[in-house]
Amino acid sequence: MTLRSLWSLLKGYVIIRVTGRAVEDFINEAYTSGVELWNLQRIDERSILGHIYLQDLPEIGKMLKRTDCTGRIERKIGLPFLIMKLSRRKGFAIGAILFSVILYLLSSFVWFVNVTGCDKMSPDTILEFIAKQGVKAGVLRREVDSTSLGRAILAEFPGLAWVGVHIKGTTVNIEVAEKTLPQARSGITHLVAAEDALVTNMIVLAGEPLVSEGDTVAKGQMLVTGIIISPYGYEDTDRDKRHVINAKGVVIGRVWRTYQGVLELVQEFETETGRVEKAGRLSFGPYELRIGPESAPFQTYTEDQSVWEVPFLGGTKPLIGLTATTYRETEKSVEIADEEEALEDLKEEAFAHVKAKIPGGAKILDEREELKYSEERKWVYTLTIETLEDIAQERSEDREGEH
Amino acid sequence: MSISGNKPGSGRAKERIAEFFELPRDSILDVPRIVVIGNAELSIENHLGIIEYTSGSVVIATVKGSVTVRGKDLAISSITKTLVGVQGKIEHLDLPVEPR
Repeated sequence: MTLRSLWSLLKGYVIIRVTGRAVEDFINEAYTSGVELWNLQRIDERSILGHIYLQDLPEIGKMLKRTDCTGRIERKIGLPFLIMKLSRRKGFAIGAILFSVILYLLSSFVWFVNVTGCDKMSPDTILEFIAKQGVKAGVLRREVDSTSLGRAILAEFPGLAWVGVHIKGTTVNIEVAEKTLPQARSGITHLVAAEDALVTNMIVLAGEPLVSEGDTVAKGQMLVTGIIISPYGYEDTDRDKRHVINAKGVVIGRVWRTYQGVLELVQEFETETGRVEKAGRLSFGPYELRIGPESAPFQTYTEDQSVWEVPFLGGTKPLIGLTATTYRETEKSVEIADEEEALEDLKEEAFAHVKAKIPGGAKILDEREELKYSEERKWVYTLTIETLEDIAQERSEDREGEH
Repeated sequence: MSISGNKPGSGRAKERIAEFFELPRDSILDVPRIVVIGNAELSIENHLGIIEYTSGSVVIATVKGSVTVRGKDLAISSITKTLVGVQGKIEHLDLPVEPR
């Protein structure tokens, strides 16, 4: 769009159809009297189309008469016509203006406050704080000073390393970065046994070993302590002379894990017979309406109940209750399992069970399986897996806690 | 539409002055200045009006006689006191032949 056409849109122009024997006369008449004509197009033998400015329209009327032509306005283009149209449709115009005003007004408020980047801290505490500072949904956008707000948040919460406040449209985005403080290990760390084990190898990097290689230890037993009572070579029970460190080391031990299972050859289970009975109950206050049987019509069955209630204000009994119960008849059946298959299943279960407990990095030394006929006249299967693994487990103790 | 009279005497004197002072002729005389851009646009300065306008031909009056533009889909893009612009597919341009 050129500047000229923009100007003509502002001034408003019409496309006029001029019909006559000598339209050329009309053209000459127009330009000589200073009326601007443009984009003249021949339509047919007798008529042309041309653009003229709205302001020249009265002049054109006279000219048409003088040159014995007739004119007809084909199209009206430009702002003056738009205004005329709008003034005729007042409701629409008012609506359009109102819309713009309301949109502008609403967009000058803050509607959303978001806090991102919180890891340990709750965003709500920050939201609460800034609400006290006067930043919450509903305040004017220009009243939010992002720089000072950021500084205030940073001053309030010492756990934050950086705060960025961005106002984007009607949303205030608060981006925070929390400080990652190195975990100060102020307490004492002991090493304790993670499992019942036989200690085979110990490498103590820090601390006082309480067990030695070849010892059997129980789960939870202290292996290496972080409290060194006699750091200078003499006994001293004085607490102040105690040397406190974080024990560190590797304690390799043999661990046995077992699983015992009874080989069940006879298996009992319940199956549904397919017979189903449905019962419904509708209660309204103290009144009740029942459909179907009141109690289960079968000897062995499973029950499926769904309840829908409308609570009565203040009361414990619901105002309206709707209960649908489905009873399904069941019967017990017995299956004699194949011995081989049952044993295979049991083994699989045993291995899965034990292996799930073995930590990563453990070395499996031995796997033993046993099938014994017990006194209770049952076949008992036992799986034992022996591993070699690090049994040291850190346990910290607060320094303050010992006083 | 009458073309304003071309007095041979005064015209010649002006022409001589223009020649003597090496002035561009169109600025001193009412001689038309015709600019053709490609075959799509034509403009004439110092025109005296339109004699005939159809989509196939535009005849424009000048001091030197009538200039005829022939072509297809011809339109008068603008017309003011000093300038006529013609747009379309221009095929022929007939310039006025000097009487002498």
